[in-house]
Amino acid sequence: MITEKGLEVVLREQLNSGSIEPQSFLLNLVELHNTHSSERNVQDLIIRCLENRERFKEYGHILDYLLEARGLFPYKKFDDNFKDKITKNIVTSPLINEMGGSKLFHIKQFDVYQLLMKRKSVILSAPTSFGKTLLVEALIATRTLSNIVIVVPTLSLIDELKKKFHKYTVDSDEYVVKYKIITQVNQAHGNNNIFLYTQERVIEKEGFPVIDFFVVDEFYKLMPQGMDDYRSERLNIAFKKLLSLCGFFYMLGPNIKNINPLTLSKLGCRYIDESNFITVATNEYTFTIPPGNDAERDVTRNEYLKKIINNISGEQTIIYCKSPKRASILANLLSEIIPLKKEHDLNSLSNWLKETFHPDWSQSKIIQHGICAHHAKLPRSIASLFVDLFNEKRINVLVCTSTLIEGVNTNAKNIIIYDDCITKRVQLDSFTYNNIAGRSGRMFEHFVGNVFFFGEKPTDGLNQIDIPIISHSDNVPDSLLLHYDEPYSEKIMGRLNKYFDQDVLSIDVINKNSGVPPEAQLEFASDLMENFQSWHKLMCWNNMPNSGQLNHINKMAEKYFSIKSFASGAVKSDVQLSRKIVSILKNETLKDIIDQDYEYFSEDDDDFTIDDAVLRNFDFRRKILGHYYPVIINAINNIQEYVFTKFGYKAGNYKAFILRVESLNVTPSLMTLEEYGIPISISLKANKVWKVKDSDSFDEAIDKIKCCSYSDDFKLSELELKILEKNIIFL
Amino acid sequence: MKKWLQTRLTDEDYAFNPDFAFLGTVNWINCLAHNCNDFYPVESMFVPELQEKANSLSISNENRVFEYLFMAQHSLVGLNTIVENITFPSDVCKLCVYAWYDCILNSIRAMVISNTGIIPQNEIQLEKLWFELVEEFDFIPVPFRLQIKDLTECNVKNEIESLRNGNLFTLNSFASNYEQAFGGLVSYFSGTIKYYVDCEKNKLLESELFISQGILNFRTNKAKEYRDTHLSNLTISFLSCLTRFKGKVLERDSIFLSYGNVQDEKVTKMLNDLLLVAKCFSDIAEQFCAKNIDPSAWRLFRADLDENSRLTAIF
Repeated sequence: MITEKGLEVVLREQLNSGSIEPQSFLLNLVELHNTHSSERNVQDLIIRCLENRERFKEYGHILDYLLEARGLFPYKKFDDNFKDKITKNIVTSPLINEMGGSKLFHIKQFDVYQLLMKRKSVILSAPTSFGKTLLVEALIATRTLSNIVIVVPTLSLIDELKKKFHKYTVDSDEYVVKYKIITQVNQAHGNNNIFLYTQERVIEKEGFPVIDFFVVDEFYKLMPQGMDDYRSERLNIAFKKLLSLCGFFYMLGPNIKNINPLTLSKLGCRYIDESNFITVATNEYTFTIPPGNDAERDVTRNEYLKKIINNISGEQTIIYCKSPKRASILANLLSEIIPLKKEHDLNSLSNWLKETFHPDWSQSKIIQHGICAHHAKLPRSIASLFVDLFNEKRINVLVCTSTLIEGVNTNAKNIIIYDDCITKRVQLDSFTYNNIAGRSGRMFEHFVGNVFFFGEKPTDGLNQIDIPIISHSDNVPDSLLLHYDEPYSEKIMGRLNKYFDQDVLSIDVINKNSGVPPEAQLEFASDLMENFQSWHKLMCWNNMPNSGQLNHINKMAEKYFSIKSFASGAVKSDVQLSRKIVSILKNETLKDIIDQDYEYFSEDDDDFTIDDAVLRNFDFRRKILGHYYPVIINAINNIQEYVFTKFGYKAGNYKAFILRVESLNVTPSLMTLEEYGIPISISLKANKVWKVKDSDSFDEAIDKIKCCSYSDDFKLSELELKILEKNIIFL
Repeated sequence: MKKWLQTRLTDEDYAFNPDFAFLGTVNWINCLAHNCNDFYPVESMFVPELQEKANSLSISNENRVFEYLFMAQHSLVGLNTIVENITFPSDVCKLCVYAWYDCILNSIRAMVISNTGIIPQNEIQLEKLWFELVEEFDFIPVPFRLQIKDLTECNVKNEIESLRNGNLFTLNSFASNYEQAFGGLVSYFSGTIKYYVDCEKNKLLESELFISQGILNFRTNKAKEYRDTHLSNLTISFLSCLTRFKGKVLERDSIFLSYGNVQDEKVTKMLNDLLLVAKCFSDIAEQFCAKNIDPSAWRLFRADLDENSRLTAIF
């Protein structure tokens, strides 16, 4: 007698070979299902049948039986009979699909939805295509909650969700409740609001209304991945803040094996692990790469890559690389294999990228082959544009870094994991592997996805997730310990004594500067106290600093907070940092600065390319000026305010300066439009009509923009107009 | 309180008029700054005119341009640092004027070399080349393009009248608008012409030619003819005004700026005006030179300064 495992193997072989007798195949599958063993594999086989549904047409009722039995209701073809009507009625979600009908939950979604509807908090671990976010949308669609906060790790996810939830913001005769989507800290509230925030914005936000429900996406990021994981620290702080405002939450993430029991009991919520419930099947192919350095291993990788690309020609494919530079190199390599697409729109986009950024930026050329390199250095609007083009199948290959795998949804059929590590030294673990591989396939579009892995498949992963701010684990940076509620354990108290037994800075100030090491804050504050008279003139300024004050503050940013170390080589000294900021304040064009860098660095380094210069400048603008610099200068601001006030001196206020640098010296609201997919170059042109001023709040800016969302006076190209029109509706 | 030193100096020289000199010094810079405000920050005003000129300089000439620009920057940054930290303006006014002068002079040198490929060997040659440069490029902004060729009395009178066009504003008052400031500039320009004409006339009187012919003054037709022939070939430009101003302030005017009545507010204003004018001029020079230099070398120069210059970045 054939074993269950043997039967599964036989069925899989039959499916692969294509020599199937449909009826017996499906009956065997029913038999296997009835054994209730290896449920994931049975589900996998059922989903694979969907890929060739036509072949099973005559026995569709058996397939539908299996789909129903496995709870895959969205895939089932429902009949008009009573039983089907009842079932369908039960699993119908409040969501509307593209055809105007109701979307159905699968059984596991239904279970979680039921809990959420009973206002039970849930932590859900489930694979990428499970439809975890759909449950959030379902709750919104019930329009029973007034204020919802959704915390996501990246601005790309804010962009994606904003578009997804836009339909709940428009006036409708059917519903009284309409939401306002709030993405910025300083936006005014409506009657009902969906706050789409990163953890930083949750912390920064003052005066939340009464919150009914909050969501933490990619909740595994609550567990610090080292003693300098400040994003995790901030997520913990944000989580604590939200928990103090609302007891009803939903946290979602992929492939988590379990949660620290202490955390679970303190939170009093349900943990549901549905990691094995798949909605798409995956073919995994592993390619062995001989040991060696990257250059040596790339030779083999590239051989495999060329073969794969030739075989999957034209299919939507994501290729994972460990760094933006490698993504860029690989995208260029692929452009030699993949022919030009000769599409008018791609040509226009190519020309626009050349004009806007740099004529020799390789991305502007390779996009004509339907290839993009997607990574965190790209301006936000461009990254968003690339994802949209990929999902619209205008481009077919996205070469990406880890940025794209943190929750952004695409319609990739194939995933090629080119690098088997996350950074130069850190190997890919099984958690990250699954996270990347999970991006292959998409419900209703690609029932079966392909994953091609170059290297040895990882086995170790995240075993247990902890939420330190709840469990009071001591394996976290001091800065997070300072946010713990009392009582402290002896060990924690031992670490915190140095902060409690000092009178240089208050704990409130230290905590306010989240993301900045407390030791560095204390060292700076001590020196400021020693030098407060001589430094006062250099530090007591409002609005904009003069040159000496700018240099002084940058000196402080480097000396105490090592700003240079975040700059990936783009800044080598505090003086140079000042010069670069001045060039931004003087509105020197990005193109000129890129040219300068290229000319200069390529003199000594033959390998330095124009792409390196482009990426370096993107990185400086987005990572340093857009994030680290504001965080550090804000900390300096808070500390000088505290110290000078303590000594009875007038303190400075750097907020306007921070905003100006963060906005790259353009009107802040226009820079915010980058998050809405509208490139700053387009906003600046259109603003001749919009007339958004520096002093306008983002809400005021939106009103002005909506008043004249189209005008001949924009003087935009056809492509620019398309980009604008496509995104402006989501404002 | 009796101004003992001033009394002694006035007793010795009746032309010594501190109040008048103080106003001229402070107000001229103010008029320049007023005019600079009209077009500052400097935008890409030179692009269309100079595109054709790229790639014509030797490496040695390029190096001189870079050197002079860097030296100009050094003085500008120094001036900026002083102005940003003024406690007692009179203490530093002389230093500021020197830094201001050095910044503009080196900027002019860089502009001239980048445009002509000639390295001026002395101030007379520099003056001549600068004069020609301004004649050639009519986009050099107004406060820096007041200049005249032919310093004969009649021509000067006509030119000044034409420039004044009924604007009688002088440096005895503080200009409060562009028009008044322009009047002030013409006033100083006119004074500068008179100063240099007097110098030239004195030089002539002391020249071998005049001595050998026994000419002691300009009352005779022959003396007038010599004088007018000589003056008709001379020029006065912004560079002449600059040099005269520096000369005055570094000499006796420095006493007016640091002695007697408390004038801190006005002197502070003057120092801020010096800074604005210097910033403006160095921006113009930088843009002008950028268009004359090989773009690749220019980019390297900028990127190198970006990384290696130890000077404070100013804006």
